[in-house]
Order: sequence, then C-alpha cells, then structure tokens
Amino acid sequence: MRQLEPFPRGPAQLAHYLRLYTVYLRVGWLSLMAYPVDFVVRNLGNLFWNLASVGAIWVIFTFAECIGGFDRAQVLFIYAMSMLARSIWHLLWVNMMSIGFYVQQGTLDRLLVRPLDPLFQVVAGYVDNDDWGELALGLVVLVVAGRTVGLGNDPLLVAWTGLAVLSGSLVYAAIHLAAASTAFWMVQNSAVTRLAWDMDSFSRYPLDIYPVAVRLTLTWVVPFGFAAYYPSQLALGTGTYRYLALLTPVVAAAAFAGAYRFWRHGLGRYQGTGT
Amino acid sequence: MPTIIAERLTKDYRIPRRGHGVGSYLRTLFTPSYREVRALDAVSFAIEPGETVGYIGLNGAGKSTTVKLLAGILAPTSGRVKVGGIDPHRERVTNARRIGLVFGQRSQLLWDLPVRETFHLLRHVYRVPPDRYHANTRRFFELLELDAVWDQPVRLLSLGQKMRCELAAAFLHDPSVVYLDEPTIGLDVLAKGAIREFLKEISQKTQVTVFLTTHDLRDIEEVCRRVILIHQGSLVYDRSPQELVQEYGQNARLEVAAAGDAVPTAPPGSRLEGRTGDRWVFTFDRQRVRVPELLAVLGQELSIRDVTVTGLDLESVVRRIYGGEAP
Amino acid sequence: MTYLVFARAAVLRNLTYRAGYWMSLTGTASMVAVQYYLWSAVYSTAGLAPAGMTLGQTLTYVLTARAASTFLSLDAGRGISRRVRLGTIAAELARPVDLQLSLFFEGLGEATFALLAVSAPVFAVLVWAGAVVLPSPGALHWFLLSLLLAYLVTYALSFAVGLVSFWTGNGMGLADFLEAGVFLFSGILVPLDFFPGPVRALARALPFQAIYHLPMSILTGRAGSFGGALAMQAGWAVLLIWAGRVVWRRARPFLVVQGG
Repeated sequence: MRQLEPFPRGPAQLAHYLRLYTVYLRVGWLSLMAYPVDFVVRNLGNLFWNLASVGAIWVIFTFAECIGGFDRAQVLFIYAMSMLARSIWHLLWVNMMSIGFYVQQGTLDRLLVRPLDPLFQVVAGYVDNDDWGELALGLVVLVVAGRTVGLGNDPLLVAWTGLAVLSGSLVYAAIHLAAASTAFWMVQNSAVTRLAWDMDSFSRYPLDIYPVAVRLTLTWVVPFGFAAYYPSQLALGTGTYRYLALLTPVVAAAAFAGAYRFWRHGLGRYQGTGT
Repeated sequence: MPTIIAERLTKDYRIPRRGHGVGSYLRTLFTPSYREVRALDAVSFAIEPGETVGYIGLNGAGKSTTVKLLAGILAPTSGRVKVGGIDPHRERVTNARRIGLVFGQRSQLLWDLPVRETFHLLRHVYRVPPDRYHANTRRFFELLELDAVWDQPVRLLSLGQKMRCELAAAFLHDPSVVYLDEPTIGLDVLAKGAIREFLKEISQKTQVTVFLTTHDLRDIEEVCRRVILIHQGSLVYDRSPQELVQEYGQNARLEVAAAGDAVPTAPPGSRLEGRTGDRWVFTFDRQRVRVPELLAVLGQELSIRDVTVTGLDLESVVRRIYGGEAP
Repeated sequence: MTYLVFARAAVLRNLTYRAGYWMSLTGTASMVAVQYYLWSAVYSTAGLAPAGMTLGQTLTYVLTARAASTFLSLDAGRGISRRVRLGTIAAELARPVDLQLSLFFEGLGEATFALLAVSAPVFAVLVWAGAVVLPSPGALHWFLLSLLLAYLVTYALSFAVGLVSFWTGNGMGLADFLEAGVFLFSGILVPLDFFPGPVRALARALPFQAIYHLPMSILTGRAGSFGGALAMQAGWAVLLIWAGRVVWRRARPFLVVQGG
C-alpha cells in the first residue's frame, strides 16, 4: 500500500476545507451560468414575488397602526432580517433539503467514498440559482427600515444585526437539516421537509401575534423565533424579550449542533453502525 | 500481506415492517419493527496487491453490498474487513484517499460543465500533487482519448465517453485499490474494448489492485486473473477465469423451434435444458460436438423450423454452478 | 366523454402519491394559520374597518383564498412546459387526441383532487372554527360558480404562459413571473379593496382579480352585484381561452418544425 502524506489536521484542515469550498462554489456558479437566461428570468421573478410580500406589509400599514405592538418600520425590519437570513441559507445551503433524495437514489454512497465530510459535500455540491432577489431586497429593506428605527447611529448595533442575520441563517440551516435527516428513518420524508419549508413563514412576523402554544413551539421546539424576531429586539430596542435576543448566536449554534448530531446519528444508522 | 482481507464478512439489512397510512407510519417511527434480510453470509477472501479480481453473481447476489463494505460505505454486521491494513469503515477518510470507485449507475462527473472541471475539482479533493496530476491526465488523454472531450460539457457526451471519463476520474489520484461496479454495462463493443484495454494496461504497469463486478464474462476473461462468484450472499467459486472458461465458457446454447410436443432425446454431447415457448433448448460443448452434427441428429426426430445458437451467458453459467453440477 | 380518462388518471396518480398529499395539506394548513394570526393582529386596534371591511369579512376573504390556492394552482400550465423541456411534446402532438383538451382534463383532474382533498377540508375546518363566515345559501351557490370561473381563468393564464416555452424552451422563469403577478394583484396576499386608489385601479384592469378577488367578494357579500362579478370573470375566461388558442395555433407549426 502506497504511503500518503497525512491529511492536515486542526487549523490546516479548516484551511483545506475553506479552499475546497471556494473550488466547489466556483463549480456551482459555473453550472448556473450554463443556463444564463433561465438564471436572470428566475431571479427577476423571485425579486417581484418578494416585492409583492413587502408591498403587502406596506399596504397593511396604510390603515393599521401596529402589528403585535410593532410599527411599520419595525415590522419591515423583522421581515427584512428574516429575508436576509433565509436567503443566505437558501443560496448557500439549500441542498441539504435533498438529503432524502440522496438517500433514496443512493447518491450518498458516492459522497461516502470521498475523503471529505459528507455533509460538506451535500451543501457545497449545489448552489441555488433563484433566490438572489430575496437577498437583494432583504438588504435594501433592512438598510431603509434600519435607518428609520435609528439603527445607523450605533455601529455596535449594526455589527450585532450582521451577527444576528448569520445566526438566523444557521437557525434555518439547523431546522432544515433536522427535517431532512428524517430521511434515514422514513422511506418518504418529503412531507416533513415540506412542512419545515412552509413553517418558515411563521418566522417573518412578530411572534406576539401567535397564541402562547405556537410561540413556545417557535421558540423551543422549532426555533424559527430566533431566525429574526428575537435577535431584532436588541436592534429595535423594544419588545419584552431583549434578554432572549442575546441568546440568539448561542441558540443558533446549539440548534445546529443538535441537528448535526441527529444527521450523524442517521448517517450511522444508514451505514449500519450502532443502533 | 494481502491488500484486501475479508473474513466471514456478513451483512444483514433491517427492512422496516410497516403498513399503510399515516397512523402506522407514525407508529413505526416510535416502535419500529423490522425483519432482517441477510445480503452477505460469511464471505471470506484475500486479495494480493496488484491482483485484478472479477466479482460476479446474479442481481441481488450481494455484489454491491460487498463493494460497499470494502469501500467503507457500510459497516459489516459481523466478520472483519481490512483494506491496506485498516478498517475501511472506521477509518473512512484515510481509506477514501487510497481508493478509486466507479459506480456504473452513479456518476461523479459534473453534469453541466466541461470534463476538465470534474478533474479540477477532484485534484483539490484528493490533494493530487501537480506533477502526478499532469502525468496522469496525459496518460488518460493517450489511453482513453480524453483530450477529444476535455472541453465538452458532460451532458453532451455519449455513454461510452462518459464511462471513460468516470474511469479516468477514479484513477486520477493514484489509488492503491479501485472498485469498478458494472463499468461496461450498456456500452457498445468499441467502448467496452477501450475500457478493457485501459484496465489491462494499467494493471500491468502499476501495482493497483482492481476489484471488478460485471455481468459480462468477456470483461473477466480479458482483464482478470481471478474470479470470485457469489450466490445468494455466499461465496461459491474462487478460481482463475481460465478454469471457469474451460469448465463452462465452452458451453453454447442451441434453440430449436419445432412443431409438435414430442420430447426429443438429446443428441450425444448435448443436454436438453427445457422448453421456452415453442423452442427446445439444448446446451452443448463446442469442443466436443458441432452444430451441424447436432442438427443432423435432431432433424431425424423433429421437423425443425428455426434454429438459434448463442454462447452461454454468465447467468446460465452461474445457474449451472450453483445448481451443483460438477463440470 | 373520452377525455375524462385524463382527469381520472390525474386523480388516481394523486391518490397513490400519499406523501404528496400530506405535503400539500400541511403546507396549506400552515399558510392559513399564519394568515389567520396576522390579520387578527392587524385588527387588534379597536374600531378598525379599512375600506369598510370587518375582521370577519377580511378573515373570510383571506383564509378562503389561501385554502382555495391549492386548487387554483398555477401548475396547470406547467404540464406543457414540462413536455417541451423533456422533448415529448412532438410525439404527443402526433397522437390522435386534441392535446390542448387532454391537458385541460389532466389539469382538471389535479384540481378536482386538490379541491376535494385539501381545499374543501381546510375550508370546512375554518367554517367550523368560526374563522370563516358563510353567506346565505343563495350566495354560496354563486360563490361556487365563481370559483369554477376562477379555475378557468387560472388555467387559461398558466396555459398561455406555458405555451411561451415553445419559443424559449423553458417556461419556468416566466411561470415565476406569472406567480408574482397573481400574488400581487389577485387578492391572495391582501384584499384588493385595501390597495391605495391607483394600484386598486390597476388591479381591477388586470385578469388576476378574477382568480381570488371576485369570488371572495361574492363570498363576503361585498360584490356590487353577483351578475357583474360573474360576467367579469366569464369575460376574462373567454378572452384568455381565446388568446391561448391563438397562441397555440401560432406555436404549433413552429414546434412541428422544431420537433421534425
């Protein structure tokens, strides 16, 4: 057996993965550009669709004063944070929703014979093409609404918002990874992944509008509340749950760690170890 | 020391028992009930470095399961597997760096992009040093004519061209062991020939160990020095392909369409296998008896309408072997 | 009628694909839930009645529209762009059946299944929970007729957009555009009466209002006259079906050339 130089460990391993990620992203981007017209048209459609959603909130506030105790700029701020967090997850990591498909088709086997983490290969293996409109609009609305609520004056809060958006993306990632990993136990798990997909509309409005049971679910069971609502409270300086806002990065990390463990557990089951 | 050691390798799959409907779906989530299916039963073999082994068997015999166990995709239920001295499942990443894999049905090529992009990606995945990368791609250009398709998107390639690319991709990082799962399935004669030539060349010039599953006896005859046959999860044959061919490969199959239902007696040197539709099926040894002689004898008994002669396919060979017939 | 076999096949396909059914039921239910809480919160300010609509009317309008959205799906026209993309359309055109009619009945089968298995149960639950207020039995009949016309308009629109894939080879992007238009101007997102004047006028001039706004106006008793609303829907349906046939006639020879 030929001797190979050892694979890097520790920080060098991280550098190896980061470098590989750029190689994968390049491949994903080139694949999108194989169909340039489709790419442009789909993203314009996506932009209009999201414009309509933001427009609806604007229309509601032509007669309403507040929703769940939040005024127009605040509701739009929360909505924009959720758009940004969701679109970052969607653009970079949406392929985790294909785990069920990979299991059924046996594509997972291909990933297991490469000297890389299989989940890394799943998420890096495909860049989505049709959510740039949500990202762009989310950014614009966040800046405009952020100025209206007076966020621009405090660089610390701006930095917090950036961190909160990234944490929010991790929350989306955690929920969808957990939902997709049910594929290791169910032959057909599309009902679960679809439910997670549809439930994310709960994350876009202030949680105050839901009854207590729904709020508790969205906080501690399926933590969509931490995608935008809780972290926004620190930036907005309002709301009753500011102390929960600070927990956002922790909750996001914990949720993702839990989802990752669930995925590893499922993978172990797939490979026939343990259980 | 052998490159691959399998000791009483056994794999059971747990198939969930479930009824229909959401209720039973949910119930099985919490109180699962399974039945066990044994896919591989105490299979043992050892493969030396540089050997080229054909692994054959019918569909569902356990071929793919074996490949998955050797490649570290699955963990065995019991028994032991070592590849290059390590447990391929426990040390999956270390093992993955030393092996190459072609799954006939599951491509690793980037569908929408030119062929070179796949190799560019793999070069980074396996950290192939620049000199090895250039030397290897040059060899693939030569032996597999990859230069002709290098800049073409994969989706525009023919099946044969795609398989050449798959093969090259599996060998790019100088693996010590290469597993090929049905690499010639569905290919035309020319493409099959090119792939066999490549495998012969590379197994002569390098120390690579090749583990090949196939349905095509010609793959085995031309490429392999050893054949392992499994049936219903058990190893039933482990010898050289020359022996296999001597014992079974000379056999041919004669189908005779004739009117009437009278059962003919098999001419000397042949065997009556049965009847499919209106055709009587015989097998015979080409070395011992020739078709005209057979027909002359049969013609006395039957009024022959039509005749087909074929070489025995792997399936019939396998059926004869596990049927317990001594050659 | 022979074309009913296409509808029957579509229903049977849906019946066997169980996971898909639970997908669309849970999806519809969670969208309806979010809308319910959102609008209840909007109306929490006392005495609010924008454009003269009470909370009860708004909930009836918005929730029924969401429940119906599974049945009034824009996927109807995707059948054709899918066939163009897969390249099976030329062969299907050669068959001795009117492709336009068989596609229509296939879509009708899908819609019937969605109506009976998803939209109707969700609607029934909403009525039972008191979130949706039923009008007089007379108005209910008109509402059902109006829903039927809404289906025709939806189908004709998505079919016409799907036909564009004859030229572009891929109608997916354009279908996304259509979805955005419906989203904005049909009333599914916000009752059209809430729009500011000029936007409302624009929405009233577009066919999208025939999909949700007109049926929901009849349901909430806010249509000026049932006859007027139904005539408007029927007008759009006829116009769009006619437009679809014109495009179809122009697309066909182009496709035969391409496929030959």
